[in-house]
Amino acid sequence: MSRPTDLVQGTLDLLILKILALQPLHGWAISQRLKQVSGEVLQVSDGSLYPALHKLEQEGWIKAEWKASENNRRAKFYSLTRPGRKHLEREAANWTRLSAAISQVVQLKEA
Amino acid sequence: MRFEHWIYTIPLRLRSLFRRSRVEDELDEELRYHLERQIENNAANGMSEEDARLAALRALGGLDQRKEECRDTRRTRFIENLWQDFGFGLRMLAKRPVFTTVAVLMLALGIGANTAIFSVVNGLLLRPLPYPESERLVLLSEKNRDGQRDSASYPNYADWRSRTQLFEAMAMAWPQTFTLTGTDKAQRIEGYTVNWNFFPLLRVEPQVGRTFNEADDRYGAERTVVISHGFWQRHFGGESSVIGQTLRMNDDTYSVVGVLPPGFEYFQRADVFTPLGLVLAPDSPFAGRGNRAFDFYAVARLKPGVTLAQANSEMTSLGQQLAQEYPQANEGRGAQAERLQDVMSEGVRDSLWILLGAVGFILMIACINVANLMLVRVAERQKEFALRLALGAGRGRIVSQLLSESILIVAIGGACGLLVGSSMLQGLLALAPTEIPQLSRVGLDQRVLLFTLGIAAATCFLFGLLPALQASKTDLQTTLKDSGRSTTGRSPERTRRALLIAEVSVSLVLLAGAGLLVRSMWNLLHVDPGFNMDNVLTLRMSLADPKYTPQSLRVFVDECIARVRAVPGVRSVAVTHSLPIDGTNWSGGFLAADKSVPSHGDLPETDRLRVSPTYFETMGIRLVRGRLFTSADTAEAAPVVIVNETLAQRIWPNENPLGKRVKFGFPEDYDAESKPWREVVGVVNDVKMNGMDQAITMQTYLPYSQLPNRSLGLVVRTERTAAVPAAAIEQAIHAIDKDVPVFSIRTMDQVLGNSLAQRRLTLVLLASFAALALLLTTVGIYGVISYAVRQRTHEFGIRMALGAQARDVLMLVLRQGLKLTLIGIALGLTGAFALTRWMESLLFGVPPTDVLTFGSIAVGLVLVALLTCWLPARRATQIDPLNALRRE
Repeated sequence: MSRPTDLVQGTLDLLILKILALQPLHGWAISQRLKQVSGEVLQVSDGSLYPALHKLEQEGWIKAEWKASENNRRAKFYSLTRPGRKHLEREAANWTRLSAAISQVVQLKEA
Repeated sequence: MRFEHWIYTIPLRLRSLFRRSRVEDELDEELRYHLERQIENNAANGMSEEDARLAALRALGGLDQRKEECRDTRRTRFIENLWQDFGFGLRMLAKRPVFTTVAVLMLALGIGANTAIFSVVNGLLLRPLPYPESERLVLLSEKNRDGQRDSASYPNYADWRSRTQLFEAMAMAWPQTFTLTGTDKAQRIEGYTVNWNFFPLLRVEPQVGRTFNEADDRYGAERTVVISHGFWQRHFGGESSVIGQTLRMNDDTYSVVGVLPPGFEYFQRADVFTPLGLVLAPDSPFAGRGNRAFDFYAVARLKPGVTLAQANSEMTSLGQQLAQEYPQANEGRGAQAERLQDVMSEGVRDSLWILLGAVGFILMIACINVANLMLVRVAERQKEFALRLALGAGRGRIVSQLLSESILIVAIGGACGLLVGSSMLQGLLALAPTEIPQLSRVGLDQRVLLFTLGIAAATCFLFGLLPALQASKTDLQTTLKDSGRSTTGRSPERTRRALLIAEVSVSLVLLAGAGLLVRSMWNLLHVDPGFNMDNVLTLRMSLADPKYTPQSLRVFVDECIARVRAVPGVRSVAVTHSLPIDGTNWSGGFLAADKSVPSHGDLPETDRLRVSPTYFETMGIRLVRGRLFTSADTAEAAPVVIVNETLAQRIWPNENPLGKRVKFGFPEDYDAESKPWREVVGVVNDVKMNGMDQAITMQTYLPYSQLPNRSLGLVVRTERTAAVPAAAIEQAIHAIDKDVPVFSIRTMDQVLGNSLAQRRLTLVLLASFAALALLLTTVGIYGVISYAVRQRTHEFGIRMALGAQARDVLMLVLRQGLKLTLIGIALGLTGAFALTRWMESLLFGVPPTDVLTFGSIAVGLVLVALLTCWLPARRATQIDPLNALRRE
């Protein structure tokens, strides 16, 4: 399966949305950005990226547009929609709450 | 929020569906772009061109799988698949035109027959009557001593009306035939004589003018008439100036006050409605509490919330009260309320439910056949399915593929079925006796269409699911490994056999039902009617004109007989006022002078016929004892009577009836001078007066000249060879009086045919359905056995190579077919024994579980099955062992 097992379900979506919130990008650029920002910790394969992008598009969180890329070729650029931006806010808040809770549990001192 | 969401999603879905290739191209381009950038990137990092490409592809992890995953996100998969399945299904069906035609044809016949019969059931039994809130309408009637529905006497009805608590309104409706004069030729028109509130009670509004009011419905009121829409169109050309115009009916002048809306129908079709009050003279026969000679049945509307059971128990207690208060007229009798629609449809209800059951069976057989065909196809396509499964198709996809083929077959079959059904319905309505009430309301309506859609869906489920599930169970390993023949496991084979057994048993039930009806009809046609039916012409006439006194009636009848006798081709002529088989229209109680006076409850009843002396000779009724009437039995001569054997036997079991005296009337009339004693001068054989399927009644004949009557019938025996001189006879009558309407000109055969019309229709329909079932079953047996033979070609080859004779192989196949048929017959016989008792009311002279019928049907079915198996069995014997083995 292409989906990385070490990535919590839905996390990839959150990462993509966050990256696109900063600027519209095409698929390859997103994959490069994912590798940059998460370094070696999160292993996102190129294979799982496109189905995730298409899913987000079909759900209406992001929209696509064909534009000339930085090397002057036609590429499909994704950007956040208004509902997508709201969705990102909600999901980010959820994530913060969840990770905080999990950190607290993990850091409990053992008796 | 949601809406804003849709702005993005809806265009995407539509695009995925309708701009599919564009979307696919974009997907390709997007992934290509990614690959190119990645390859460039890899190359920049120092890889060789080939390595850079492979690494980029590897990182994606399979290009086609990724594409498929992207497609999966589009959420239009289901529709796309369905689209694909239907397209593929259509191509598959087109590639197998024989299979498709046979399947569609069988379903069209099954669905069509169901649609036709259901339309009738719907029109007559299910749809409420065309009166507002018709569920509150009931028919009120008296019950005779046997508990049967009987007409009411007017005084009893008047008491019900004044004493009831539970009915909103009651109205009497009396079917009447009028003679319409004032046109070129006198006409008979059907009508009803009704209480003024008949129309408001049914909530019928006139189209033109008004209906009756209370003042019209009184003795001595001005004569008014309400006419039907059809009569308005025919007779008055649909002009609105009709109000106030007059009609001359029964030699009275009626003025038209209103026209009813189109389609208004009560029990029988009627053109005119007159107020009942007009005929209720204080001294008229209607005033007699014991007089039930008229067809008086009342319609009533229940108060809201009153149930039929409550209404009926009120009527029962009213009946008891009246029996106590007037024992003379009412002893032993009761009163009842029945749902109006039940009464209107009672003549056809049993037949209709049975026919609906029959067509249900036919559809079942058709489904089984199609399912069997599909199973064979599935077996043949095992390889295809296995391959698709191996290439990654889900089992769900296989099921949905087969189901969509089934849906296509049903859709085409259902559409054809609707056409077949509507033409069947037309044929059926053309054959149906017009006396069936409300028949004009039968047709294809929304509910019928829904029903057809429903059974089509059920059909699809029945025959489509089984093969589909069977196919999805395909065992990949064995099927793909097995290179030569398509093999099927034991389970589909078993399924096919089970289906065949079911089919045989269902068709046996249908055949048994039809067989019972055929035997009933045969019995009916071979009942001795008690007279000679051949070459007898009958007609009716009505001498309503007041110029006819008893004396001039006698003169008219004598002259009429003489003139008609003179018509070439006529052998003898007589007058009677009731026709055999057609029913007696005059009957009542009588007393025997030498017996003790009976109580009212025990008063014997007899059918009475007024006949001219030549009646017995004309009809071929045999004199058993004594003498027939002669011209000497005039009004002035001593009153005489002739009785039938049944009466003589019942009243004077071991005595000579000749010379005994009888009197028509009630027990209290025993000493009344006004009613004469009549001497029995002759005994004649019994005649089926009220229909071939009715019991023999006690019958008495009176000389017409001693009791002349305005409504009479003529019976004419004609020469065997001559064409029936109906027109000449009518002319002969009109030469005496051109205003006498002559109607219902029929041969006695037609009278008989008419009385059996409804039975015949049921018989014809059920027999055709049974024949259809047999045909379908034969097709089914043939299909299963010949497929089995094809499957076993190899085996037969080996057997024959090892020395089996053609005869052995033949027996092998026949035995297989016979075994299945016999099991089916055994099950079918059990089913028939359980089901045919519902037909009891349709049978005559044959028990519902008639062993002879069942036995011969079973034997016949075995023969048909053997014959059907013979063809594939012959083919099995002609297998060339070498060829069969080489095909391996």
